[in-house]
Amino acid sequence: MSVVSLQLGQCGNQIGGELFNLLIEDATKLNPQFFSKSVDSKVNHEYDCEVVERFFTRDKTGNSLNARAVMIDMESKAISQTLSQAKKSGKWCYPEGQQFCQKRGSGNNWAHGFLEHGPKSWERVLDMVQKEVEKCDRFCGFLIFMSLAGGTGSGVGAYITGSLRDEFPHSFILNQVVWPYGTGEVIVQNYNAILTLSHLYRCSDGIVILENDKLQNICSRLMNLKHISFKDINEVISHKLASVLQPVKLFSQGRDAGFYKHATSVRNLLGDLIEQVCPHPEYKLMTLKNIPQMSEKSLAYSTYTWTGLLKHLRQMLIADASMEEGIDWEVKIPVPSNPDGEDYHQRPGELPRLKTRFNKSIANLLVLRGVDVHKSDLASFTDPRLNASWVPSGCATTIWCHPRPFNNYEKSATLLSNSQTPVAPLNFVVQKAWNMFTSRAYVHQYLKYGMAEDHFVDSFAATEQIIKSYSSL
Amino acid sequence: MAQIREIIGAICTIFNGHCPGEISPESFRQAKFDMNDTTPTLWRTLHTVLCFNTFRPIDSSKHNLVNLCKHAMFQKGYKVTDFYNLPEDMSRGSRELMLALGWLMAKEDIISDLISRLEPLIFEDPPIHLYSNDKIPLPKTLDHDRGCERKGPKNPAHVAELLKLKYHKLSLALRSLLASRREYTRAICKLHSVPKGAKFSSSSHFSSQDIYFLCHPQELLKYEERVEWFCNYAKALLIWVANEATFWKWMTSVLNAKIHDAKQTDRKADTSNCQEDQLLKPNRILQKTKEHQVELSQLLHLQETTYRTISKHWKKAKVVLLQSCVQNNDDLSKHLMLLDNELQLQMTELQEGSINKCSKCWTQQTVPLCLRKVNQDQPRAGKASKEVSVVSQEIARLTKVKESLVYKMKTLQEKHKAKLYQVSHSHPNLICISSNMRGNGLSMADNNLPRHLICLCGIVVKMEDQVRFLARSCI
Repeated sequence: MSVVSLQLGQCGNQIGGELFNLLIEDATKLNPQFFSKSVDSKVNHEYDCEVVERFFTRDKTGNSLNARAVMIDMESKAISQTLSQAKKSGKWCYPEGQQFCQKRGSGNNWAHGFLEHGPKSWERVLDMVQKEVEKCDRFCGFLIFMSLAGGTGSGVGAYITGSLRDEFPHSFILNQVVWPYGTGEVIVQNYNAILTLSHLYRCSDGIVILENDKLQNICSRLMNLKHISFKDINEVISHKLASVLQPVKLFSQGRDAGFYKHATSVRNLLGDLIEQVCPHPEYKLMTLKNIPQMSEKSLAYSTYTWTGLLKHLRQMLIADASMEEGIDWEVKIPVPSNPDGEDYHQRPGELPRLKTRFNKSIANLLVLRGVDVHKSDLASFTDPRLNASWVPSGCATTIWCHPRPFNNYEKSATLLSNSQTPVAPLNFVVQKAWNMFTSRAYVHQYLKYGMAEDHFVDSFAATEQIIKSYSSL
Repeated sequence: MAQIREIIGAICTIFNGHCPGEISPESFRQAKFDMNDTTPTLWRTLHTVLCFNTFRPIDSSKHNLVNLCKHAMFQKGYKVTDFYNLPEDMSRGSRELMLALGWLMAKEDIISDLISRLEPLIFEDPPIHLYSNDKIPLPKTLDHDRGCERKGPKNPAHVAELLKLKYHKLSLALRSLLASRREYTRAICKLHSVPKGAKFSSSSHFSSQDIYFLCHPQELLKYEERVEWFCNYAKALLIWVANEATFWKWMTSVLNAKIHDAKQTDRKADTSNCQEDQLLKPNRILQKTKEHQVELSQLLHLQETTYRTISKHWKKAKVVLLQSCVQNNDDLSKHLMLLDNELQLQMTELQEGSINKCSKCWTQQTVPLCLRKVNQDQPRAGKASKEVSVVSQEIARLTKVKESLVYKMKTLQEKHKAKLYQVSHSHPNLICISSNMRGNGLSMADNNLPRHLICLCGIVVKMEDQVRFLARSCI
C-alpha cells in the first residue's frame, strides 16, 4: 500500500529528501557479499518493487521515479535545495507542481503558521495532496515530516495535520517530529513544541519523536563526527526511519530461512504499525532505538550476533538509552516475587544495585533485518513485565523481520517503542514553557495573530495530561 | 469547575450507555439545588443502576418504578428515611435521589457491573449456516474477560484502560478494513475498465464471458494463456509477412545444399558400396546391378585408353588443321582479293564504255539524260519514251554483267565448299562452318575470332559431349 508524504518546513523537507534517497539507495544497491539462498535476485526484486510501490510513482515513460510527496514551506530556499539534490541523485525526483512555497516565512511563530499561513495555504495544499492520493492504487495513509521548534513545520504542520484528519477521516496519519535542542537557538521553541504536540495529539494516529540532542550524541559518539551538520543528523534520522519503513515480513519463531523467502510482506505497513504500536488513543508517542549505528568506514571491521544485539537493545529499552554506548546495565526489570525491585544480593553497607524505576511500554515493534534473522531468539522481548499491567500480552510486542540486510549493515535491529521515553523531554519543555508563560514572555507575539491565552493553557493542560498518562504506567 | 463537569459528563455517558438519552450533567446540577424537573430522570437512572437486568416492572408506571427502587435500596441497606418518604409521583426529592445514587455508587462497584453488562464488540466468526441478513449471535462473555490472561484482582481502571486499548485497536483495524474496501473498489473499477479497453466498445459493462471468467478464475487463466498464444501467433504472422523473401533465399540455399549432398553421397555411396560388398552379402538384384556396374566401369576403363589415344590424335590433327586452315584462309583471301580486283576492273571498264557512249549520244542529240523512276502503270508518251529505251538497254546490259558475276561468285563458293567438305571428311568429328553461315551455328561467330578457331571450339564442345554421354552410360 502506498504512503503519501508531506514535507513541512526546512527541517521536514530536508529529512524527507534524505529519507527518499536512502530508501531508493537501499532498495537498488545490495552488497554482493550479502547475496545468499534466502536473499537471491528474486527477493531483491520484490523488495525493490515494494519500496517503489510504497513511496514512489513511475512517470509516463516508466523510467524515472517520482516520490509520492508534497513539499510545503513558507520560504522557497529549502524546497529548491531539496529538489536539486533529488535531481542530482539521478535515481528519483519530486513530482512537478507538487511544491507549495511562499515568499514570507513564519518567523518561528507557531501562531503565524497555524492561524495565518495554514488556512491561507490549505486549499492549494489539499489539491496537491488529492492529486498525490489519486495516483495511489492502494492508499494507506500520510507520513508527515516536521519539526517542533520552528514556525512553518510546527504551526502549518499542525494545521495541515488537523485538516487532513477532517478530509481523510479513515486514513492513517503518522507524524515524525524533531524535538528541539535543550538549549536551542529559537527562544520560543518550547511554546511551539507544546502547542504543536497538543494539536497533533488530537488528530494524529501516532507521533514519532526524534530528539536533536540524542541524535547529536549519536553523531559524535557512534559516528565519530567532529563537525556535525544538519545533514549528518538528517542521515541518522532517515536511517532510523527507513529501517522501519522498508519492506518487512511477520516474524515466526522456529521457522527456517526458506520460510521468509516465500512469506508475504506486511502490506498495510503504516496501518499495521499504528495498530500495533499505538493501540491506545491516549498513548501516541513513539521513539526509535536502533542498533548497531556506526560510520561507513567501521562497517567493514564490525561483526555482530543476534543475541548480542537483542540483549543490548532490550537494555536500551528498559534503561531508556538512545544508543548502545553508555547503557545503564544496573536497571533491571523486577521479578514477580519482588515487585519493588529489592536487591536480594545487596551486601551490608552497599547501595541496592537494582533500580526500582525502569522504562515501561505500552507496545513495542521490533524490526530485525539481515543475515540469519530466523535464528534470533526473541523471548526477552515477549516478557509481559516490559509493559503496563493492563496491556494484554498479545498486543505488547510485535516482531517484523526481513532476511535482506539494510543499508550495508549485515545485521540490524530497530525498536519502535511506545514507552515512557518522551516523558523526560516533555517535562523539561513544559516546565520551561510554563516559566515563560507565567511571566507572559513573548506571548504578545502569538496574540497578535488572533490566539487567546486560553489556547496556551489548554495546550499546557493537554501536554500535562500526556505526561501524567505515561508516568502512571 | 470545568473539570468536574467533564467528569460528570463521563459518568452520564456511562449511565446513558445503559439507559439512553436520560441523564446529563445539567440534571446533576439541578439535583444539587433540589430542583424538581430532574426528579423523574434520577428515578429512572437509579432504577437502571439498581436492577438493570434483574427486575423489570410489568407495569412501568411511576408508582411501580419508585416502589421497586425503594425496595431494592432497602435490601442494599440504605436506611435514610427521607428517601423512603419521597412521593411516588416523582414530584420532588431530586437531591435526596442524588445522595442515594452517590451512596450506591460508593458502596458497590457499579462501574464493573455496568462494564460486564456491555455488549461485546469483538467476536469470533459467525456460524457458516447463518445467512448474511441474520443477526450474528454475540457471545455473552465480556471482551476483557475473554482477552485478559492475567490473574489477580481486577482493577476497574485497568479494565477500562484495557477496553479502551482493545476498542481503539479494533477501530484502527476497521480503518485498515476500510482502506482495503477502497482498494477493492478501485480494483472493481479497474476490472470494469478492462472490457472497455480490450473490446473497443463504448460500454464498460461486463459481458457474459467476463462474468463467467470472474466467477471461474481458472478458466480466466486458461483464457489468458489462449490470448497470449494468439498474440504470439499474430506476431509470428507479422514477422513471416515482413521477411518471407529472406526465407525463400534460405530455401534455395537448402536446395543447393541438398544437391551438393546428393552428389557427395553418390560418390560416397560408390566407395561405401564396395566396402559393404566385402562385409555384407547383397541380394540378387543388388548383386546384378553391382555386376553391371563393374562391367560398365571396366568398359569405361577400356574406353579411357581409347579416349586418351583419340585425344592425342586429335591434338595432332588440331595442330595440322590449324596450319592448313591458316594456309587455306590465306589462299581464300588472295582469291577473293583477285576476284575483287577483277570485278572492279570490269566495272570500271563498263562504266568507261557506257560513259563514252553516252557522251557521244549527248553530243549528237543534245538530249539531256536523266535517270528517273518510271512508273510502269502510267507510261509517259512522246520524247520521254526514247530516253527510257536507252536507259533500259543500259540497265539490261548491266544486269547481264551482274548475273555473270554472280554466277562466277557461286562457282567460286562451291569450290570453296568442296574444299571445306574435303577438310571436314578428313576427320569425322570435325565441323566446318562456311563463311556465309554467320549467326546460324555457333554464337561465337559473332566474336572477332577467326573462323577456323570457331570451328575448333565446336569440335571441342562436341567431343566433350560425347565423353559425358559415355560416362553417363557407364554409370
